[in-house]
Amino acid sequence: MSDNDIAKKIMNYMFLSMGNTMNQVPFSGHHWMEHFVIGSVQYFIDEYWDDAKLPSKKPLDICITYLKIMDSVGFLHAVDFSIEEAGESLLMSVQTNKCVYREYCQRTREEGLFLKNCIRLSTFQAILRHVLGENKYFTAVDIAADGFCYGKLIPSTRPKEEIVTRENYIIKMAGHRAFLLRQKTYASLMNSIREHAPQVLKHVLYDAGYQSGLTLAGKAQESILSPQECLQRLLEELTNLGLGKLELVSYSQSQARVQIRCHDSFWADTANVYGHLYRTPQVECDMLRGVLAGSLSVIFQKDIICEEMACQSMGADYCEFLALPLPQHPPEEGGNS
Amino acid sequence: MHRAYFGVEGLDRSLEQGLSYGSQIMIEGDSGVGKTVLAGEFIKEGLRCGDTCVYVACDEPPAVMREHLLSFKVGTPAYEETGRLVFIDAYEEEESKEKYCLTDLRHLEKYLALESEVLRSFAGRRVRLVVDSLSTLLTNLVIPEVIDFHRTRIKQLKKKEILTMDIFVNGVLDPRLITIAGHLYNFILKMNFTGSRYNPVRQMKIGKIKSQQYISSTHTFTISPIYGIVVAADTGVYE
Repeated sequence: MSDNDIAKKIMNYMFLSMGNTMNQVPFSGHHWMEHFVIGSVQYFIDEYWDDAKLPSKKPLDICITYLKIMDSVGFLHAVDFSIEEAGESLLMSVQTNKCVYREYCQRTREEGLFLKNCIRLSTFQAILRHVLGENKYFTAVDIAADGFCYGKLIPSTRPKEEIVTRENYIIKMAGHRAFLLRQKTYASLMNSIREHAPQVLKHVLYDAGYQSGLTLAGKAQESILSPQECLQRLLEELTNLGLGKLELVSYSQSQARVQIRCHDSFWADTANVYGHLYRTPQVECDMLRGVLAGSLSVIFQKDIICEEMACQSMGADYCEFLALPLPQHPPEEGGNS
Repeated sequence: MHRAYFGVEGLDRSLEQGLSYGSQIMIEGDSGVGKTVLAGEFIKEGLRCGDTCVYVACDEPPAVMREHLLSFKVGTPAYEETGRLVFIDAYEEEESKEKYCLTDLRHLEKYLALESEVLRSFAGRRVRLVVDSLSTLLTNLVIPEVIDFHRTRIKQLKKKEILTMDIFVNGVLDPRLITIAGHLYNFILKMNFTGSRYNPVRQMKIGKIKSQQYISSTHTFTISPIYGIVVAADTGVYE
């Protein structure tokens, strides 16, 4: 093994260790991981970028020039990468075994880390920020079965949902004011609603979830991501927010049919720790059901209804949701006699 | 032991121990009072609890209950796809497109065979069965025939631990028949309109027949297009 090889291996270990640490950071882990990479790339840029001959300030030219510089110092082979424009976004592909960060990628997946930043794409974020003055891109990557990684750099004007900031005594999430709530306080709040208006509880939770699902998916949708990628990204975001570990089990674009699992759902856990909301054990994750129904209605551009078919609060191994299109022409309001 | 409820707050509060699987509930009520809405609540609750629900549509096509449940945001396609919600069409006869349908409403033995066939396929599951309305199936039959049918059927349902809700529309069957049949049920829920003609009030009484007496608690209720049956708070009165 050459010195260069061992150096690359150690670099991968460093990113893996950072990934492990960022997984334990309560908020913004993905964002800080990106920051680490961008920061380290900045040192390289400071040293080598001055000689760069940029044909234009188009994002595509910036990234290609960057690859050429990395090639000239022997870090990679620029020819291994393919980059092209897709509207304002950039599409990149590389044979997985030719990416210097492959070990980090493989290990994050093997170790089940839910933060799966693509280091290569973050280096492009760094150079784009350096030249254009801001990091307005977010990334998405798919390690495909054909042995290639397909990455996207997508411009977005909206703040990332997971970024939590503090300005003096004000906490903000994605630029909007937020506050932290203990599970016990949440349970008290729900118990209080149940005491005063038991018939509204499920509806309040579902509707609140539905509205927030519409907003979250609306953000994901403004990019060039495919509907399935949008959903995947959304599930990662919901996982990041602490709702539980969400996993896409099956997806059919043509039937608008989606099956999703949630491990350790916040609501199921609340029921298990602080008591069930209902007289007899039943599904408890109405808010998450609403979030999924709202999000999927935006993603599929049609009314989707989502049901929780199994719940961890009832002893299942995980909560399972099945979403299907709302049959056409339902009546205006419920209730005949 | 797992206990079941109607899914109507106020009404459920009066059932401290809940309902056991294998119980039979008789719903008897005026036209338009909310029997089908109550059946919808019972099904919704069952689906949320992981039960398999079988709805026998005798007075309207199954599509009406489907739409009713959908209007209350119950994702019937998901439950039907997974076999947790099943409709038996005992209304449309030959025109039915349902998987389970009764093509000849004149023969009770055919109904019994179909009901048993469907329930047999769910052996081992917790099942709720709603027949809306059983009185329609029993029209034009003589009392001894009906009582025989009832005894046989309810015995089977108890044995299979099916939680059953049979709906009877007031005025369709001979009152004597209703009284006799009532003895076979664990719970009797009577729904009717009270108050003046211009200001009708919905009321329900749930109880049991003990020592030839109907012991019940009374609740007034309304029907909300969003929440379904809403029982007025603290009006439960034991007679």
